[in-house]
Amino acid sequence: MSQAQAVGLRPEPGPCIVAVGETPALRHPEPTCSTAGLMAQAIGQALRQVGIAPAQVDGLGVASFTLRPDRAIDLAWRLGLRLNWCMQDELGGASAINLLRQAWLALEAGQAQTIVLVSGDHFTGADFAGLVRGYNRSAQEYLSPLGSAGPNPLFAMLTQRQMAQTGLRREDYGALCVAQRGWAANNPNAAYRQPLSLAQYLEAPMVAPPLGRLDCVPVVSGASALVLQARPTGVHVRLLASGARYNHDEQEGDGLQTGIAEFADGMWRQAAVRPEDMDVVSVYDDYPAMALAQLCDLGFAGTDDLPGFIARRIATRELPVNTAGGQLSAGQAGAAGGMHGLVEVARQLLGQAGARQLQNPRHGVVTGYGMVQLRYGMCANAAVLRREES
Amino acid sequence: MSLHVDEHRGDQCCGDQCRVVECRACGHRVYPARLWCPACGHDEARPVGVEEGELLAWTVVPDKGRAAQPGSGSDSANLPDPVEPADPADPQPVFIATVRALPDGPVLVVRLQAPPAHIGQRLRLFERETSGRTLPWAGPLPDLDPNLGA
Repeated sequence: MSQAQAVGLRPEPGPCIVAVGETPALRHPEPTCSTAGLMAQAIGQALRQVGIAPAQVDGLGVASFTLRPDRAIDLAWRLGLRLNWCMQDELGGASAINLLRQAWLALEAGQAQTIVLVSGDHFTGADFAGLVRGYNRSAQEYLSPLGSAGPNPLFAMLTQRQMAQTGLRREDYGALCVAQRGWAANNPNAAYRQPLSLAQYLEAPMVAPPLGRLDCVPVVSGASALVLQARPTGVHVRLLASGARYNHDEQEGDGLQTGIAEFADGMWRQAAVRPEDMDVVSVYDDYPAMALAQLCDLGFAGTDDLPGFIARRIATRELPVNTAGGQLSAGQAGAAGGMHGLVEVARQLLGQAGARQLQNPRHGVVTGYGMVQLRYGMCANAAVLRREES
Repeated sequence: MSLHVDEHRGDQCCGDQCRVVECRACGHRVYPARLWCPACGHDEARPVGVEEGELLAWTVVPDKGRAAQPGSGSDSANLPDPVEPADPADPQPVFIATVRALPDGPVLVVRLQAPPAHIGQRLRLFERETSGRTLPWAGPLPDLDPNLGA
């Protein structure tokens, strides 16, 4: 709480998200496509939206797997950004909210006035295979040589346990995927926009049973960006509260509960709102099972009737979840997958979601999840956001 | 600081059992080795053999939709269909499982010799050279009718 709030004066505006940008998710990018080029496109789009010149940007936070050999500061140089604050983050699906939390503190502390957060990746097939095969030491020296390459086999086993524990069937996961595809139809940047039927979901080839192809995110190239300002004017999005847990259980649990469950109550208390106040939700959907696990961890659902929750609330859009299609339909552009959900909730709250715009949403919640170690993701975080005007 | 694992002793201790790492102070078991004991921080550990585990979950990759498919809950009692002979152009299916070593852990991701009978099945744990590394595998317990489970 700021001093002004403490003494009962009008609250100071404080840091806020003022603009977002996102490139189309490219399944077959041109040979000239590059990670830095995609990032420039997303940043440019966001800055133009609010009429901020690159010269006004004094903070940059970057998340990417494929920017190498360049790093955040090289990107700054190529964009002509002269910075007081610069950060790089490699927490994959948890990088966006991690950067958001750090940027917030930096703006509150006066270390910067205008911060751009960007995440993006450009893959060729070989790049992606190499990334997952050597994702970390455990993947490189243990899981990949064992024959368990990439996250699919691990999340197949996690999904199998979730099915046994909750009674979820493939049809239920399918209903979630069908609902997200429905949202993607109105996201011109999404990789897959054509309607999806439950039959098509069920008929898709098995990847690692019980996971079929449509339980796995399409790998795309793309970038997402946010612009934050210390003292914004006009419509903006405030961070009410956030939480994070990194390596919360040493990979010794069952993976069906993320670290979000440990901080959700405190986060809602700090935000002074509840799950039922949320008008828009983005949960990190690397697999349908994880999207559902996070919705449970946040308090939107219990594990006792998840099939009913999907049918009554998600499929009907009573609870708008992953309204840009999520990564399952929009695509996962590497580390940008972690920012996709944050950009979408901010976009909805800013009122810029075009044909899929919700009516006057005021509150939203976003999660991040990722960095698979031996068995499941080690990182989970979440942020509660509110639309404001000044 | 880095973990001191008495590898020499490990050569004699375990035969073809699966070797995991046990903290010399608190007995916490992990695989693979960490930099020190993640439970208590102690930096001396010893290799110990684990020979039996309980199946928690399993899958198969890549299978092109033809191979045995693990079910969940009530379906998992059904024995999977036999795996069809591999097309020369297709890689052989690889069976992967999550297994809790008995009685004190750790939970391991292992390669399976063959599709298992059911979740909860007891399996024999062993080590095998795989892609140039010594890695954990699991197979049926000896002298046990796999249709009866454990």
